[in-house]
Order: sequence, then structure tokens, then C-alpha cells
Amino acid sequence: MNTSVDNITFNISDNTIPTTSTTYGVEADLSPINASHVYSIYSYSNLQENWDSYGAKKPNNSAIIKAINFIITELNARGYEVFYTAPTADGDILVELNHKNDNLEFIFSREVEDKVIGSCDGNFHAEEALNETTLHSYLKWLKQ
Amino acid sequence: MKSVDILDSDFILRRVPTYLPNYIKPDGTISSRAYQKKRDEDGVSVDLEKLSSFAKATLGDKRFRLLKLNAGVIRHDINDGLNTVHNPLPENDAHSLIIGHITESKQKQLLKNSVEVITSF
Repeated sequence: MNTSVDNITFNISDNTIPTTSTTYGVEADLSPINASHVYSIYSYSNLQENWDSYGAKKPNNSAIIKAINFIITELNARGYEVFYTAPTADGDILVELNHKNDNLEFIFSREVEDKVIGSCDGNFHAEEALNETTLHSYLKWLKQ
Repeated sequence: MKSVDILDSDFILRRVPTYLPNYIKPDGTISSRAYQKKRDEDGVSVDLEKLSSFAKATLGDKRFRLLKLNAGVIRHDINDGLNTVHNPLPENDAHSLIIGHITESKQKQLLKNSVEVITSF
């Protein structure tokens, strides 16, 4: 059952486009799990450089916005619940789904093309640029 | 410090963050992002075990867990040109690099061939 989360209001500035920002408000009708992941991703904007002690970059706001939008408009809207999220060493954002032994990793980036990676039992299966076609086909693969 | 040879029998160590952000997933498995090479990096930073220690490799910080991986496995099993070379830094003489084209597939193989080092402080 979805729970309306009318207290989610983020204002994330996109540093690459100084005049724009994204606000998430009462229109977001998220499952509790997806809402918690959205909060987690938002919190990554508070990380500093070198958060992994190996020189990781500060998570990029453009990537954060894309990842949150993706959860709200693509995954939550289709009834998927996010399994795991994390920032990457490049400042990109990982959103992960799982089903049985299969996992899908979606990587959102400011610098390079967004991508989707499928794995089974922790072994690499396939990787492609993320677009409507690959999103549909990888989600279908995950449910098989 | 002078570089040392890394033998096939040697092991390398890699820290995994377990706080915000946490690279341990809800099911207890570790994200293969732990072995991700940054786009502007020459390689994935690791510590050469024989020049390090658990406390040194975790920076004495309990919020890190530690993975251990055999250099010979990287060279001969994971392969595809991957190698491990000693790359000492002024602040860390054990610093080494996993070099080569570290793809998504290779990241997952690196993780699969790793074991966690369990040592109390």
C-alpha cells in the first residue's frame, strides 16, 4: 500500500544550471521504502569530498536529482521498491533493485551517460545506456 | 620508499565504508562499488597486506570493514590485463594500485574473489 508522504520537500540546486532547482512536494506518493531511499539519496548531498577515504568525489546534485526523479516517476510509479542506494566514488548515484538472485543497478551521472547493469548471483550479466527501451527490457529481465 | 614486487602469493586490502554511505546492502552483501575505479584515477587504491596491518588499513576507524584479495587471482583468474602494483605514498608505504580496465564485470569479480578480514581492534 502506498503512503502519501506529503512531508517530502527537497530543494536541490543543480550547480550545473544555476537558475534551476528541483522541489519535491506533496505530489510524491511514495511507498515507505521508496520514501526512505529518496531521503537517503537526498542526504548524500551533505557528504564531503573523500567520504570513502580514497578520494571519492562529493555526490553531484544533478545525479541526485536524476536518481530521485527516477525513483518517483519510473520505479515507484511502476510499483517497484528500491533495494539499495549509494553514491559512487565518481559522485554518481546508484539505485538498485533486486528480485530473487538478480539485481539491477542504475547509475546516474552528471558527467557520463546514465546506465543500467544487470547481475545474477553477483555475477555480471549485461550493461547498457539507460533509456526507455533498455529500462523496459531490463525490468522485464529482472522479473523473469 | 622503494617499490617492492607484489608476488602472486601476496594479498591486497581494500576498505569498505559502513556508515553513511553504507556499502553493505540490506541483505548483508557488499556492493561492488567498493572496487570502483574513479574515472580520473590510475587504478583502485589498496594496501599491500605484508606492509600493512588491520589497524593501518582501516585507518583505525571502526566504521570501515576490510576486504582481502589475492594478487595472483587478480592477475591470472580475473585477468584481462588487470594487475596489482606497489605505489608507495609518503603517508602510506603499503599503498598499491589495481590497474587495468576495471569494468563493471571486473568490479564484481574482484568482489566475488574477496574475503572479509575479521579482526577486532
